[in-house]
Amino acid sequence: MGKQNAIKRSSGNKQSALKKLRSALSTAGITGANSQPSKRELKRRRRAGQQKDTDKLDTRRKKLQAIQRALNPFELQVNRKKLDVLGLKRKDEVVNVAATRQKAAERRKQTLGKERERKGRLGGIVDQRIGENDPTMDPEERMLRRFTVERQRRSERNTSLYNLEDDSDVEGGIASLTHFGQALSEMTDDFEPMADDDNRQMDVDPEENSDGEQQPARKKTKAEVMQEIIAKSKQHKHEQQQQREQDDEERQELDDEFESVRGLLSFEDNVPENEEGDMQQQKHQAYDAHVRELTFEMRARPQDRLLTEEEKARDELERLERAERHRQRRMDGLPSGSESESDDDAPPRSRRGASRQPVADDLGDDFMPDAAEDEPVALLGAGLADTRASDDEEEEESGDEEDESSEDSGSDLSGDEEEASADADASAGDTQRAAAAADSKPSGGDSELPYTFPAPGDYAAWTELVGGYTPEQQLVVVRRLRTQYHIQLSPQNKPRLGKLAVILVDHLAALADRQHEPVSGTVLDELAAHIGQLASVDVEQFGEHCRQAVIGIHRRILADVRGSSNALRPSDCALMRLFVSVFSSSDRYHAVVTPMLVAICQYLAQHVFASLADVTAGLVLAAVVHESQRLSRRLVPEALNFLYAMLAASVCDPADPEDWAGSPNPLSRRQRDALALLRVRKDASAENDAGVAPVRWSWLSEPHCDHLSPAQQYGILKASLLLMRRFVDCYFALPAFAECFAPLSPLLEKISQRLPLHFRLQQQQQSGASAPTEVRTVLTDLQNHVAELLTQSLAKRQPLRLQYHRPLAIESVAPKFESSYNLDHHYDPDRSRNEMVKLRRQVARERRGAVRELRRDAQFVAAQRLDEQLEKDRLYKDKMKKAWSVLENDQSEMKKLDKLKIKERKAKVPK
Amino acid sequence: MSLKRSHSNTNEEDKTLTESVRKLEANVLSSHQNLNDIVKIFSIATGEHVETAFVAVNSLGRIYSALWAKGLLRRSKNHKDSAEAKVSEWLRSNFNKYTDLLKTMLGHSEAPMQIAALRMLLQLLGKEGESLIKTAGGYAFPNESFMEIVEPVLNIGTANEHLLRALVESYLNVYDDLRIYFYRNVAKMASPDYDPFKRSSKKAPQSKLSTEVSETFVRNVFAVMSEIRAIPKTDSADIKSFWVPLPKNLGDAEPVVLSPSAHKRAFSEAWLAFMRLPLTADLYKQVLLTMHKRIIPYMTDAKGLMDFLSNSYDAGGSISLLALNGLFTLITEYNLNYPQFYEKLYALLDRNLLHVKYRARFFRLLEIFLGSSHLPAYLIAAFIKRMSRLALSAPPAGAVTVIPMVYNLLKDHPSCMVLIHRMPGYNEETGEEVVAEDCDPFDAKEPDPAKCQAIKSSVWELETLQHHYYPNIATLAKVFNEPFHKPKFMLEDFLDHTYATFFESDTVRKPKKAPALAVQPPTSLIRSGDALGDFLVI
Repeated sequence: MGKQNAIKRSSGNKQSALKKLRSALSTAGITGANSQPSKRELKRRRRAGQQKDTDKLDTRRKKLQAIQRALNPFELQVNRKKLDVLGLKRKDEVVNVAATRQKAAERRKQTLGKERERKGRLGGIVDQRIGENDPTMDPEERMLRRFTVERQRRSERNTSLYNLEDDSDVEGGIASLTHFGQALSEMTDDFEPMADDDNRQMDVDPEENSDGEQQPARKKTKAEVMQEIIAKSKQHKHEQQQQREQDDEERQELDDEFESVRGLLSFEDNVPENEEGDMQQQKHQAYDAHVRELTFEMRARPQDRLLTEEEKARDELERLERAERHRQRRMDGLPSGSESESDDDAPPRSRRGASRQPVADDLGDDFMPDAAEDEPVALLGAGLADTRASDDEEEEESGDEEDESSEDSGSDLSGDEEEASADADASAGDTQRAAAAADSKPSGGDSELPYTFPAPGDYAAWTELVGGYTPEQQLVVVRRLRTQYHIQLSPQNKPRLGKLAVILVDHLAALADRQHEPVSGTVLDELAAHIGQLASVDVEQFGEHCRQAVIGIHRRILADVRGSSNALRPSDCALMRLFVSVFSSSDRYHAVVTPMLVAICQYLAQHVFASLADVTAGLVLAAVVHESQRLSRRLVPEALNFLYAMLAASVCDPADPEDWAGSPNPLSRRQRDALALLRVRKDASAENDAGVAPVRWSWLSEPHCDHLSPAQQYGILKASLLLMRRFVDCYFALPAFAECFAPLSPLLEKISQRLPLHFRLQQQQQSGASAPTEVRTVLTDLQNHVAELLTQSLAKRQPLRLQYHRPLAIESVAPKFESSYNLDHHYDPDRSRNEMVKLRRQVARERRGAVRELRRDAQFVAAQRLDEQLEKDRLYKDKMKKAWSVLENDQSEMKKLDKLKIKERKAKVPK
Repeated sequence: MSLKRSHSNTNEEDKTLTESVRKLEANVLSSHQNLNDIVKIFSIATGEHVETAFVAVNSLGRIYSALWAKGLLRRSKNHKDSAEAKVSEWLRSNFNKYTDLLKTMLGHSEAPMQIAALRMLLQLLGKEGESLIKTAGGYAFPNESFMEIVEPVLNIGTANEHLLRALVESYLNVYDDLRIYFYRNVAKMASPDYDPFKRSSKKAPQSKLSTEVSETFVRNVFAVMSEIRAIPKTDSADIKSFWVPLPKNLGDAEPVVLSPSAHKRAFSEAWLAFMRLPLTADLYKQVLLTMHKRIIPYMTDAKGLMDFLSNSYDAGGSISLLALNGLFTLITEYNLNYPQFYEKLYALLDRNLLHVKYRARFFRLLEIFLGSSHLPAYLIAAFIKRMSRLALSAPPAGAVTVIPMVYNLLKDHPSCMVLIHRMPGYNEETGEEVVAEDCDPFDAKEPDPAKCQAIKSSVWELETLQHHYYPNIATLAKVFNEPFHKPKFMLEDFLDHTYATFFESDTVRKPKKAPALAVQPPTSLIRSGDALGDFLVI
């Protein structure tokens, strides 16, 4: 209709109202030629009867109404558009106000009016036949549905009629609760939203109206919902019942078993038995006491359930992944603290060690912490597990047996613990561990070692404890200490083990420094492994100790740098190497590793390398630097500079500064002079070509050796080359790789030119290759490698684009001016405030709408009430009229009668 | 003078000798008849006993002061053969002996003796001056005598710090006349045609001083001159303290000591003469270090230093770095035009720069030199590229200065931003596309910043510093990734770092949380596959 109007309006805007009316009437066929029916038509109609005629009249009236409506300009409200967009149609362009009002009134009559009508009424009939009022169902469907429901009910009718919880009572059954004849379940809740809320809105947007009529899915009735709820609660009750029974059974079982467990836990049942009457009560009290005791009993703690192999593997994988994630974050300098440092999943390893409960299968073979599955041999040291197997239980159970067991092992030829344990293990079938145990042959005499030791509180106590033993025996002591003070056994063991870690660090340093009788690498390795595992017991104490150690090392390095006093000890190198692998050295900042790197770099940059020990320490420290940057690959210029200096020193003339110009760092005259000891003598090869001597750890303790044999020189040159190659690989990804290693190629070229060439047949026959040849292969290999990487690096290099940011607006000083300022629009730049305003406006609008609705409703009600009043008045008036008329009739009748009587009387009187 | 001392009866002997010296002194001062006693006192002064000799020396000093005041030592104008003249002649010869004794005392091994001798000599000098003024009738200064004092002082080889300090602090810094004549004497002594033997034939035994100036002399001169704080002033009213008091009537001409310009001239000439001497490298550096503050502002004509500074600047190495400061003062305040200054400056950025201890000084100046916004972009780019290249192999303390420096330069010269941000295909001159493979045309060996083509390159070195092992540097280098909104860095905050400061800042406070442990605990001291395993045998 609206559309039609719009067309008419646009076409006949200029015509007068009369003309418009005429044309409209003629097009509608009310006036004009077609308006009068022909005679034939009339005849046909007459034959069809009266019915058609009224039809005709009806359509005619409708047409007239339509025309009238269309032509009344005051009924149309045109909403002007700001922007005319082609092709965009809006619903409310032209609104027929009268029609809308009419519609709203109709709707109110349907809803509010009905409600009013029903107001104060009681009772009524509710049609509950299934699907009766559902227009979407066709009759067959309806019958089918009713049939199935009936069948269902019949089949379920197996409980009493009076069972309130049963739901089989639907149709008119006694149990159906009603209120004013309406089932309770049918009644609407006061607090539920009104069903006709939707309808109220409808005069606002009439389009949705039609949709509201047909709901696609049938809503559940109240009754159904209630049934569901009841069904659920019944099921729940049933389950609870079952659960309770099950629990009772289990409890009973547990109670039965508890006695036996109590036996295991060796509680004394100290219930006094004399009072027979209170027996029961006593028993309960005793039980309570036991339970309370049990809460403090370590062994009675609830356990994790046994994990399957898959679960274990998955846990381990997750743990590793998480640790790696945290490490990455720390490497990038992001705080991973909340995750990794706090207790929840602290260095996950420590959690395993510290808080993992021993599960049942641990008891049999493994009661050690940190016994990570993937590294059995090295982690436990040699045959640690077997030690446990052989002496743990013995120790724990009875001290008396110690002698026996030691005698047993003593009766073996070797008599040492390792052997004994190896035997035990071999019998257990753990061949791998046995092999590891056999690897580390102790010096003997372990049988004299006691099996328990007092926990050392500091390093002095430790030296007192192990002072007389060989390093291998000391390792055994460590193992036994770790067993004896296992973290699970007592809460006091945690600080003990934490101290042990610290002590072992000192001990490692002491062993590494030992001059007279160097300790074998395996001992140091196992000590390092112990430290690595114990570090997690008390990370803070351990970290602090290491930090102090680093500060001490730095002090010695400073002394070295200032006066070349040979203060740096071999142990310092060992400790620094240890710290790099114990701590997460890839961190961007690390409280131990970062200062340590600074100290190392100062040493490498400023020390005057004047002896074999110095040079060896430099190489070891450079390797430590490399190890620390293995994952993070950060640039350490000092290490590179040092290696450049080492390489250059092998061939360059210390007196000629120009000769050294190739390397990127300058060396002072003193440094150059000192490094002359590395210069390979041209004639040296002729005298004693002993091949290439590999760099030895023992060289670190030779501070006064300032004359190197050619073999040593070649060894150091080879080591420098190998280390340089490591760094080349490590730094390949750096953007300035080419700049860092560009001087390397010419330097290597120089070395390869100046290195003495000689082919000594005899030597080659003996050892395969002469020293220079061996070095030369390494050299040419590195040369090719560097050249290749340099070209690669240069090829993939792109200009820098560091400033790739979102383009920034140029700051403007012009006053802000809105060309189309609109009061309704918000120009507030604050987004949240803007949102607030928007919301507030929406609320106001809604409130206005609601108020309007209520007002209209009230008006409607008032109008209805008025109508009713009028109707009532009219009825009353009519009634009174009638009464009056009756009365008046009566009166007139009476009067007539009276007159008649008088007449009659008069007539009689003359008589 | 002998240090030997007889251990027995020392005290009594001392006492008696001291008594006798006092008596003799009183005798001499009381009447001219007893002048012969001077010889006795002198013999005691040259005697073996240190204490009494010292007393005698002091008493002789008092005696000669009195004699100067009485005018007895003055060369008489009367006839040569008169008794007065003879006495005066005899006294003078004794006086000369005495001063010679004092001058030998200057070389004494103990500082108090040296200082006492100096004090005595200068006191007598003052008396001599006064008597000279009396005879001359106008202002006069006994410079010859002063010269004779200055020369031995400056030629003492060892253990002379206290003496030199005493000379500077209680005399040269206080008395204007002493200072100006000291400068003049130094200039005289340092001049190449100065012959110490020529002046007085009796001074032959100054054995060590040869015709070519000795090293000790140079060192001493510098020690004194660099310590002189009371520098000649421009206002004559400030010149008011004199060792030899000014006479009432100054005579016809204004004495030299009262003219500030004369002071300045003396100062300049002394320094210029000094700089012509053959200096050791160490002294050379020290002169250059003090040059811009202590010397240049007080020169009459600072351009006189131009040759010295230019030569130093061309010398290369740390001497060049140090000369830069003086040169800068000359350029900015004295209009010196130095050709190819920036080329030379560019050459100073060699691989030593970030390792030497003068780098802070150099960077302060470099900031000033490159601070002008009128410098061409290619020049700035060359400097940036070169500094970055150096930072790549520098210790952290060096790298940490380069980063803020480059940031400030980039902020001042936005046309150099292409160094850190170059869109592909962008070429600022022609607008042509840059061929990808030629993205680094920089020539590190080209000495001319105009030809090194740094502006067409990128500073990958700075990006690499973002992966520096020292976390603060890595963070600082990240600044090039951020929009350039920050204010310029205060370069001063970054200049004075060393390894020690870095280490201390890392260790001084206790870490808040426990250090993180490695993901996998070590199983051995040296990991298999570790770099150490390549070459080390335990």
